[in-house]
Amino acid sequence: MTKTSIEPRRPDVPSPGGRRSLRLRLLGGSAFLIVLFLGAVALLVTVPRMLGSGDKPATLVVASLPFWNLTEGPNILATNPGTFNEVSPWIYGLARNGRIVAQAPEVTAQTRDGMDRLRKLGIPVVPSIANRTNGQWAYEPLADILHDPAAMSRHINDIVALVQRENYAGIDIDYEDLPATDRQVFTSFITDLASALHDKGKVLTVALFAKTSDAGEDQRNAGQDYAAIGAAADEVRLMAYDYHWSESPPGPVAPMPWVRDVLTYAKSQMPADKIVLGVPLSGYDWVDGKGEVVTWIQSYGRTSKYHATVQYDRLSESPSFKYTDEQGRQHEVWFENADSTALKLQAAKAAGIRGVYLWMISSEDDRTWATVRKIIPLHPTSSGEGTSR
Amino acid sequence: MSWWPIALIVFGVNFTVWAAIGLARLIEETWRKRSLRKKLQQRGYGVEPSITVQDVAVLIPAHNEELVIKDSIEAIAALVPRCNIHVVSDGSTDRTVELAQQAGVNVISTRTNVGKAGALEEAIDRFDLVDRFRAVLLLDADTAIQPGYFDAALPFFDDPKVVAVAGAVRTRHERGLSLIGKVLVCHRQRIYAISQRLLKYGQTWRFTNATHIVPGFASMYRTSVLPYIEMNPPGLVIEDFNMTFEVYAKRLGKVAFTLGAVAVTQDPDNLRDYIRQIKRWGLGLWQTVRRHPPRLTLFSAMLTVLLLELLTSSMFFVLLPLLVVMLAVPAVYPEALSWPGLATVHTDVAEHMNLRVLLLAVTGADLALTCLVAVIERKLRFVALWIFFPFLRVLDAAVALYVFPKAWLSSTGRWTSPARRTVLERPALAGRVAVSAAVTAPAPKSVEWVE
Repeated sequence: MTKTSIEPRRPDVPSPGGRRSLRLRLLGGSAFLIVLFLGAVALLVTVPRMLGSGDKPATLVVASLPFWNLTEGPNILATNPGTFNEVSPWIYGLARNGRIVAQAPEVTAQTRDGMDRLRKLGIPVVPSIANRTNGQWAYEPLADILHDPAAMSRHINDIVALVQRENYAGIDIDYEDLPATDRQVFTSFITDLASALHDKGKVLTVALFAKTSDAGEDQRNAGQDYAAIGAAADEVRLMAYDYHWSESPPGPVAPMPWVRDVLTYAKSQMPADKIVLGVPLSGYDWVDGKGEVVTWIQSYGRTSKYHATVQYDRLSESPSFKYTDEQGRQHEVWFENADSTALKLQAAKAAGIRGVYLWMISSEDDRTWATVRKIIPLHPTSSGEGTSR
Repeated sequence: MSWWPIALIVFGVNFTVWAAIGLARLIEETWRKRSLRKKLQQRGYGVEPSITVQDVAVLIPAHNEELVIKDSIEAIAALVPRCNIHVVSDGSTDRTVELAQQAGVNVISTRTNVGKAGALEEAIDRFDLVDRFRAVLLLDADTAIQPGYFDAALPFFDDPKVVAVAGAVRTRHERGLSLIGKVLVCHRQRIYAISQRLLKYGQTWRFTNATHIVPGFASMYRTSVLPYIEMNPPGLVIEDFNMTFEVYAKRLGKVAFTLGAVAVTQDPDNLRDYIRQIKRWGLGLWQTVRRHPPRLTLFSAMLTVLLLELLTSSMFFVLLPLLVVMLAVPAVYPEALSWPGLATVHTDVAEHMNLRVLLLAVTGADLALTCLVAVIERKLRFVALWIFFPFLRVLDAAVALYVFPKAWLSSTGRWTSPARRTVLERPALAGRVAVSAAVTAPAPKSVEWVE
């Protein structure tokens, strides 16, 4: 194959065929170069897409249903089959003595009826318990539970008994506004609760404040150990909304750059397949320095009533408008629509996390559900598998 | 998108693969040498290469090199017999020929100005190097062969399959360079240091034999293969890529390389000369690839992966400033997103990239390369200049892509690089007399393209 003892000689003068073969060679070489160039372009375009969407596509879409919408909510789920594969009715609170009670005893009948209809849909039901007492966020009943080992184990038993009695798929813990000093006890509560539920084949999901560093902005952020809770719970629901809230100046509820940072930080702390991004569906109407929650329907109504023009902010990816009411007060509204929701769903998909939960289902943009199905399509068999791991 | 694919693009897929093979070579050769030495000692032999410096012709192409030719000849005459040294002057209008003759070496002038490759071809023929010598060292007038070069390189010719031995290139680091000069020279040395160890060393193992470049200014060829190598095809702006590709295309034999055969050369110290040089290298590479369609060989496979990465990483580095601007501007000036079209692109980019991850991955991977070089070279100045190298990579990338379509602009007929016609004045460098380079193309230093 290798010529090593070559007789020195001049190469032949190019034969007439030489030009043709040179032309052929140049053609082959040109094709090679062009293929290489196109290949490089293809690599550059496809590789980030392949890696960006993660190994596993998002497979979980949770509907959060507040107690005040349990009449209409189940209808939305029924008329949009294949859109959700888990539902979390936000119905439980804590009594002063730490017992689990209904958040709104006055609507017990509607709640019971709504829950029955949800069960019939065949979607796993994972209700939420919030530390709300008599309709208000309350720290004291929860503090008593967390700081007394006997009370804590009684509370864990209560939760497991509730889940078993009602045959829920699991429970969602929404305990908010803990001081930083409760970090350890909150972690051990979640860890113990997770193992108690797992023993019975049930799942635990935990809602956490969104943050972009361990310390976060606030006491309540420092009180939540992402890594430890991510290790124990089956789902960690990131409350990536209320960036601007009722007490803050007006602004987007969930600006996209912040949402992306929240996802990046969460992914650095826990497995991506436990992260569930909270996607808000409502906004706030600020007037005189105070914001009031508004649904999409309400926002829509106010734009037409006051002839306001909706602006869309491309940095935060949020719609907003201003108007003056009958009393001459200046209002500023930041809300959510199907377009702003789409961006958040895409971010969740690109981050390769487990899925999203929609907070909360109540008079949202009517294009929202088609958008959800388009961006996070659920495999037919994955409906009903939302909570299975 | 996570950081590691970006880091891999910046560090280099080819480096990773060939470095692993290079490590295998290091282990295998260390083990083999030890057992061979033991065997030879037992039998009482010394190790004597079959080709000695007596058999090596030195061929120096020169164009108006009166300032350095004498020193160059004296330097190489310390290593090989004076009668082995050959100078071919191509279109010199100064005292190059006279000074070379005074130095007592063989000198000819080309009949017309034919360019470097043409001059080499003519000189090999007129000096009858193929019949008179067993190997020829192609040497540029501004390149200094280090003592030990021949001791390291010649034993490779004991393997009859080896037809070329590539020299290990180092750049000369003069004192008194400007900052940009320092950065350019260090950047070049960084490329030499890494690519010769992480790429070429693995590529030239006796089991692999697939390297894309035998530097045309400090390497040796077995003279018996020269008649088979088309040295001066019309239109090529540099000859050494083509000579290397010819070796593989015509299955002439193996290329060997050792880090011990060192040649020190001078690299541009200002941006204008630097860009001119990498333009010529880039164009020369694309032209050469175009002349040699791929075959089913390891060389073609190596080349495909190498060029694919060169193109991909070039596109990435050209896009990098755009990406950074795209992500950074709206973060500072949100109103920018109201510009038509920008919002859509920004959303798409932000979906897959994050400014912090992007910058950390790029600078992190590049800094890793820099630190590696600083350790290899035992010079802290590389670390001091780390921040500049990514910018030069953007420049390298832009030039590589800019000259890509030009590979088709000189397809037929005789075409001569404009660079060969222009007389480039290399500016005077402190500590060294000015070198006036060349109508004959200032010797293209071989390029290690992929970084």
